[in-house]
Amino acid sequence: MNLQSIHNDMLGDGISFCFTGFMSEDMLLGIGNTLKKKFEIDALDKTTSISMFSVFVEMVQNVIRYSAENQIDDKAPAIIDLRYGILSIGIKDGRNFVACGNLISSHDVSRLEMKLSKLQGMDSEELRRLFKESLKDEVPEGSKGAGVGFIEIARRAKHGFDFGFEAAGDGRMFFTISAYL
Amino acid sequence: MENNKFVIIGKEPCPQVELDFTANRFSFSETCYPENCAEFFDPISSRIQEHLAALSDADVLFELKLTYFNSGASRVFSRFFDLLEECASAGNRVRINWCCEADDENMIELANDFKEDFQAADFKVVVIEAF
Repeated sequence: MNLQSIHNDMLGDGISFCFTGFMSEDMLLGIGNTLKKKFEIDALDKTTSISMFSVFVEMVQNVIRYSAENQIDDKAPAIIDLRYGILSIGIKDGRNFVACGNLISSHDVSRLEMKLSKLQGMDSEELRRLFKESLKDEVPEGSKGAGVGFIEIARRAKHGFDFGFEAAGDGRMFFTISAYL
Repeated sequence: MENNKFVIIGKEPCPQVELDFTANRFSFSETCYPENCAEFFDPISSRIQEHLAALSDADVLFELKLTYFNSGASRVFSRFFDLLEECASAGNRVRINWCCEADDENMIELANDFKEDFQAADFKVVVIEAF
């Protein structure tokens, strides 16, 4: 097990924090507190540290919610897969980033791609308006969340965000999203 | 006598909630980012909604003093604001204080965004040096 080479690869990519495994609300709280301390030590300004924290929360809650929405049986291997994700934080080209990846069903790719491309093409004023409008939308049946998490991420990502999908076999895709702040 | 005062002690990710149905004062503070906002807020929202709808010629104070909340909570607060504006349109004196820390630009901007929606209720963005 060569953890040092993984560690060195991550440092080379500017990653200073990384979690990989099952995502849950307990994990969110624990890592959230660790990140708050880290931002303090790094002396990040308040606006940036709250924005980083916010993007982290929206990304992880998206993963938790997505697995929950597709839940048929809590212990079914298919569902456990959907809770599996990777989250990393670091600096690339002088910009802070928060990046998250998780397995999704390939059926959801086009819907996500459309939504995220639309957000990428919007300026801050358009995002501001869309955010407020979306708060008034009815929550889709079966959805526990606000459905505005991606808009929140786009608003906080002052230097934009990118995303991608890669085939992961078995009707699944690995979805990644990185926000730059 | 019916107990009309409730406090839910804040514990991350849930906010501190103070509800005084006698004085018509409602406040949410600390941080607010439960994964399932509906589960946390539904009992609170329905009680507040019922109470506001029954008021007449009353003074109402609704206060937000949060350092952070997630997008799910934004949706909940947006609903509260609609109820409060209705309550004010019905002739009650409704004051909303959205407290922001002076160095939290995004929170101040968001609060000002919401301010635009109010005509009847008195919505104030209160900037405080530090909570």
